[in-house]
Amino acid sequence: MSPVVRPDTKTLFHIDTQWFEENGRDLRAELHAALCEKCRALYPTPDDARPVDRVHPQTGQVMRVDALWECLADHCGQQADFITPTMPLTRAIFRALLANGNNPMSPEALYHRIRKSNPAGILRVLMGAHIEDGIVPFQTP
Amino acid sequence: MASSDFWNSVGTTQADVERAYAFLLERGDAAASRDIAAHLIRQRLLEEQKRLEELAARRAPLYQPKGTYEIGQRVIFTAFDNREGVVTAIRASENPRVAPFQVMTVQLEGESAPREFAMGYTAPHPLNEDREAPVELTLSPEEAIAKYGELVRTNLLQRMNADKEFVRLDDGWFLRGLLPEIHEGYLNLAEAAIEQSNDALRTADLLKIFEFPPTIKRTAAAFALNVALANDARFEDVGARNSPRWFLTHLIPEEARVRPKILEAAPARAFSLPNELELIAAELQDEADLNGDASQNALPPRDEVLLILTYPHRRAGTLPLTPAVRALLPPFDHPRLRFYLVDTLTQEKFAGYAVNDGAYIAGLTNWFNARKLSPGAYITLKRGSDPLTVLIEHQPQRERGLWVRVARGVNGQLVFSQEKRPIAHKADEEMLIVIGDPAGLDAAAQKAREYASLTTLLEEIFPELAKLSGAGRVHAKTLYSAVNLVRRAGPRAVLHALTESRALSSVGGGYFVLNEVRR
Repeated sequence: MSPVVRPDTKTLFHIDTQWFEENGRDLRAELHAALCEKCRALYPTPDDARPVDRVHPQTGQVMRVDALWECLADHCGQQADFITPTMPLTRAIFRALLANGNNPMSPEALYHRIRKSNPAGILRVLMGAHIEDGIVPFQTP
Repeated sequence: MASSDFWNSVGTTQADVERAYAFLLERGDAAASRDIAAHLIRQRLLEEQKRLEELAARRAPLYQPKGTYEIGQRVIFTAFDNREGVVTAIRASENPRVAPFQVMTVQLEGESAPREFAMGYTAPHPLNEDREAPVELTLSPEEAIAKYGELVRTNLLQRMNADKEFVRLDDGWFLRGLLPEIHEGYLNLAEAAIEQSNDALRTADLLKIFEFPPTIKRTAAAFALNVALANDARFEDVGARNSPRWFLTHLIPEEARVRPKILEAAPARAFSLPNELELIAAELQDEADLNGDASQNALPPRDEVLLILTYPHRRAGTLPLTPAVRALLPPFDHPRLRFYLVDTLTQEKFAGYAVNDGAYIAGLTNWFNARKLSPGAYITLKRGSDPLTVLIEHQPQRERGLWVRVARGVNGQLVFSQEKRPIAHKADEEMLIVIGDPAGLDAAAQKAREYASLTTLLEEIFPELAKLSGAGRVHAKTLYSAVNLVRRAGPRAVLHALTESRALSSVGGGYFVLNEVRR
């Protein structure tokens, strides 16, 4: 049995895509809703977004990824208005993970990206009684 | 890899820790962290230059996303440990959001499944930057050590501190496995030797007593002995920096081990003073103004320092360790430095202790008592003939009766009177105060704690001193000396409190009077 580690501000979190299915929510529709106008013109509906080639920012390796994730990570998520100061905290956290291609982030890294609340406050929100937007501690496979 | 990334990483990896290990192993002796870092820099520089030369010698080009390649061509992938791969297929990219590029399939050596890489991809990408040898790698090893030595040393220290293979003493590092064994018998011998000589002994002196096998390197044995002594509570290193001298803890006088309570002052704050008072503050050397930090440089270092004895130091048998005084001694990092004071008049030699915590010199009680020194006495410290000797002298004069201020505590109040007393030394006239009744002063000091501010305390003391002067004037130095009878305070704090007082006014020359309203 693996030891239970109490989450702290360095614990990594990510979006559990399965959580959306289990809770009757359409993740792709939510990804599509987060697209900027330019990307939404490319993909008018979620179904228009097929796998595309994505160039790895460090190695140059090409991976086939969902077009919605690729847009959010490489374009929309880099725009200044993707996360705004007036955006609710839980939404800002969700968007920070989208912009990071759902690579796991700690409350400290999330705070660095969204500049709202503080790492301990973000941790409290993520460890609350209800899972928000499928964001759960990341467990190494 | 950018040059800054390269240097930031040196000293942080397990491979670098192993290089440090190998360095110490080969050397067979302890080394300072800066020497280990210098070795690491030399080695990494050599390896990196060799690596770049090998890359340059290979025929295959380095992969860049903007480049174009042909099927069958061999390419080197720097992001994959400089492995080579063969291009096996090429297709057009699929991504309507970005400008079209091509995707090549590559079979990397040592892998079973092929990977795909971008080519003809002209968007900004770190691998598209022109890759000449990083400029910093063209530095000579000595230039690299000068520029990055401290960074690498800091990186390395973090790793070595966390590694049990290494043993550290001050800034010396050695391998645990190579340490000669220092058993309890050696330590008992060391204890007896120090006890017998009643002096601090150098590590080399102690080694002479032991019979180490000749196969053991003397420097390794010295390091091992230093580590063993440092880890035994019976011993304390009371030597200068990089020059251990071992003494027995129980032989160190109490006032050198624990700062006497009478020297404890409230934390000093930075005050700006009028020019006249600034000059007085500079004259009065007092560690209470330093916040315990006597390590500031005394500029310019002097060979002679004149001190005026204050009551707290007279009672504690101590002197202030100000930067100017510290400059008379060799640098030391341990809690205490044991050195010798030599009276220039009698040639009497006795041990003094420069104490870091609290910035004072202990060991002067007998010397003060024998010379019947009063607060206000002049004491001169001079640089000695060797680094661990400081010359000390007071200014004796034929003992005769002089009219002086005498302090007493009466019903918890500090009172002064003018009395004829025998004085056998020269003193600063403004600061000279003869103690009439030490026990009464202790009671007055207890009472003085009730005064919240130094200004209020000064205003209470002032009339007592003013009554001794025909003109009702009191010098700032007298007030500083008097306040210190009942509360420890540095000159800057006292002089600032004087300027804060609404009841006292400066009349020039360092003198103050009580304002008319208060009279």
